[in-house]
Amino acid sequence: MTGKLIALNIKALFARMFLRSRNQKKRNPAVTVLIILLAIYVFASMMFLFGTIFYQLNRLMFPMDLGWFYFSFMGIGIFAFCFVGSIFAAQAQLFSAKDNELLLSLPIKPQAILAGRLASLLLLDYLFAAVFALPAFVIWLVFQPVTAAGVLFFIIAVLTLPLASLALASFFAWLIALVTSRLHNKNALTLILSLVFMGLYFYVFSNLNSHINQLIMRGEEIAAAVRQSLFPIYHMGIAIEQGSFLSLLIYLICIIAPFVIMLLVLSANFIRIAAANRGAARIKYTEKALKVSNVRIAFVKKELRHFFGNPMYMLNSALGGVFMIVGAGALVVKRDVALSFIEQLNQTGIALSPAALVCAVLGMISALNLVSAPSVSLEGKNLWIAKSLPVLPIDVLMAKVQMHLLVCGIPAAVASIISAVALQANPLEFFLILAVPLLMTYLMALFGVVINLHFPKFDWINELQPIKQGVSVLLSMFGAFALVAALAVLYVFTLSSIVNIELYLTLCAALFAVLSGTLYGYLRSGGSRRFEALTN
Amino acid sequence: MLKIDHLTKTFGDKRAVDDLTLHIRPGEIYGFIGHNGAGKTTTIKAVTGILQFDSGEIFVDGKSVKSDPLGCKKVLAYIPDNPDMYEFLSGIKYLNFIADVFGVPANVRQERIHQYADLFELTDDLAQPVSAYSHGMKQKLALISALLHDPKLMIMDEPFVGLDPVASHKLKTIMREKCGRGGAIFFSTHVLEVAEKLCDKVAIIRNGKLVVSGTMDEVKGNSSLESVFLELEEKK
Repeated sequence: MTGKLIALNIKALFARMFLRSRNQKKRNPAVTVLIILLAIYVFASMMFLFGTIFYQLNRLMFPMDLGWFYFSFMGIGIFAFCFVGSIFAAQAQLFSAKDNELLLSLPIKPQAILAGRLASLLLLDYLFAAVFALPAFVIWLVFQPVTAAGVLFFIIAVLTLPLASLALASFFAWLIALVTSRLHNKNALTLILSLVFMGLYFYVFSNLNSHINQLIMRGEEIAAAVRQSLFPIYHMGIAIEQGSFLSLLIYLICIIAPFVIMLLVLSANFIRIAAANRGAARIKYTEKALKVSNVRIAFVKKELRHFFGNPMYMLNSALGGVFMIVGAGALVVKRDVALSFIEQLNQTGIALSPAALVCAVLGMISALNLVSAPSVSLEGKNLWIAKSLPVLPIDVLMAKVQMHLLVCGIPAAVASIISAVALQANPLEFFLILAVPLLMTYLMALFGVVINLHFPKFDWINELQPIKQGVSVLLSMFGAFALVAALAVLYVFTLSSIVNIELYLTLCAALFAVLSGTLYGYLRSGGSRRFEALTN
Repeated sequence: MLKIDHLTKTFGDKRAVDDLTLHIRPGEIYGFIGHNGAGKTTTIKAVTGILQFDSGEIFVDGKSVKSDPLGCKKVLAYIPDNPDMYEFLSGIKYLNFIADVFGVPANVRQERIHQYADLFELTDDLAQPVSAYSHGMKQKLALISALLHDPKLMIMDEPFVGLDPVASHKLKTIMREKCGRGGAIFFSTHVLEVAEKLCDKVAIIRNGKLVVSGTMDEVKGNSSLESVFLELEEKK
């Protein structure tokens, strides 16, 4: 039974990515191949990145007799990666699983349910651990003398370290579940936590080189700090480097103990945790005047409430807007760097103006704004509402376009104005810097809805499925990237000698306007008919 | 009020609704009965414009669903068998959204929301998100939203499922009152006792085809609706 539960939980964990539509007889092979290639690319890139770091550490630490720190660094990486990677999964699996009550009503021991959930989380952790452990192992194997005991202890260490990480992730997941269950606005907390994790991620990765340099320059100092403050990780390094059984034993006791404690606490309280329905405090309605809107505005407001009601929708579909504002801010601060970069490009023969650079960058970032691309799919089981109400399909569809424009157009306009002011653009450049990204945003908004009408997915279990893995989202993103890249390449390699950049940008704006007009025309006719024919 | 004329709808090779003809007049409560998968929901979805159909015609208040779908939708209200609603909205925001779409004036919507929310004992919960509602509460919210624009025709798919006995009784009273004022109600149900007591007319459908229809007395005669239904089912 435990085995079946583990398989079920693993399936649930990966369902978002590999779920098959109820209506599809066969999974679309192109989508499967695309997902597999993307997974291989991400996995290989990260392994390469960490491989480079371990190569540098290997060259530095082993000659300094600090070989143990090489493994301790790997241990810290695995622990942190597993913790961050599994904290939300742990919350969903352990404390917010919708099937807890169903499983408890079946003749299954609560411990078996818990074991199933923990085992699937552990498997997820092992995937994260592999990203660190594999390059560390290969570099060590190739460049250093290796003993059988060392290899054995390395494997034991990598297999046991995620246990401690899982214990800590479970504790934090419990805290999050406890806090969010009592909050009225869970979305705000989830959004803040996600942004904090994302900010940390970007901070660490954007400063990775300086961190590595620090590590190299202050290797001994940092190693001494690790020896004193991260006692178990230090012994893990010693156990692998020197094949010390005693150190392995000390490490194992320190690592396994929190896991066992977590296991005992969860086992003793699982029924209470699983059946708990804390719920936020009830908000009592007090009658007040209701705002009246016309049909189109009512639908736009509905779309906006949907968007702002789901932190994952915001984070996954409108990150481009944040990047635009941050980028414009950076341009204000690093104006000279941007201008000298343009100067350097001009010297190499690539005719680029500040306006062209801003338009190209904002255009590229627009490809990350995918608010409208899953919006038809997100109707899901509620599709009957829009279809049974006395409203024209074009009004329903344009509400989605307008939501995209409001969410992504405002940051694009703000970023454009900041950039134009920072670069002291002349009136024509100012106009182009404003018009090109805004028209691109409008085009993206329309394209997202059109493409989603052709690739809708209504049978999702979680809204993240259409938001993150929908075909329409992938096609919108790569379509926009391809369009901007093609226009840039066309100018740089072909048209730069024939037309000046201002004229070219004007032509780009005209192209976006024509494409947008065509897509709008389609939404009024064929798109509306397609919406009328949609069923979930 | 509702005229279904030789309606046919197929899904692949399966004829879900096969040449169905029904006529619901103003003032009638019309029950629609059939086994699971008989074609009741498909018919209802075709009437409400959710599902396109292959052949036949549907007229609501004299307007064709095919040529004037908006005109038809303006005078009808639909309550689905499973009240899935926008879970990201609160109950009051959902009702206000529906009122906006039907263009219900501010004072009228305020009054009707107050009236029906009080009637179904949902007023205190209107500020809660729909996601926090139980099935019965969602059903009540769907009912209130359906009544907001005072529709001429109400189309309901299993409207009593999930409702407590008090709410069921109130719904039956509303249905009767609406028909008393010249409206019409077309609803599907598996609760034959309710259909027998409430409906003026009834239609029984089997495998997409109309088996029998007429006034309650014409259909059941001296026996019960349940025995008539079971008898017809045994003839399969």
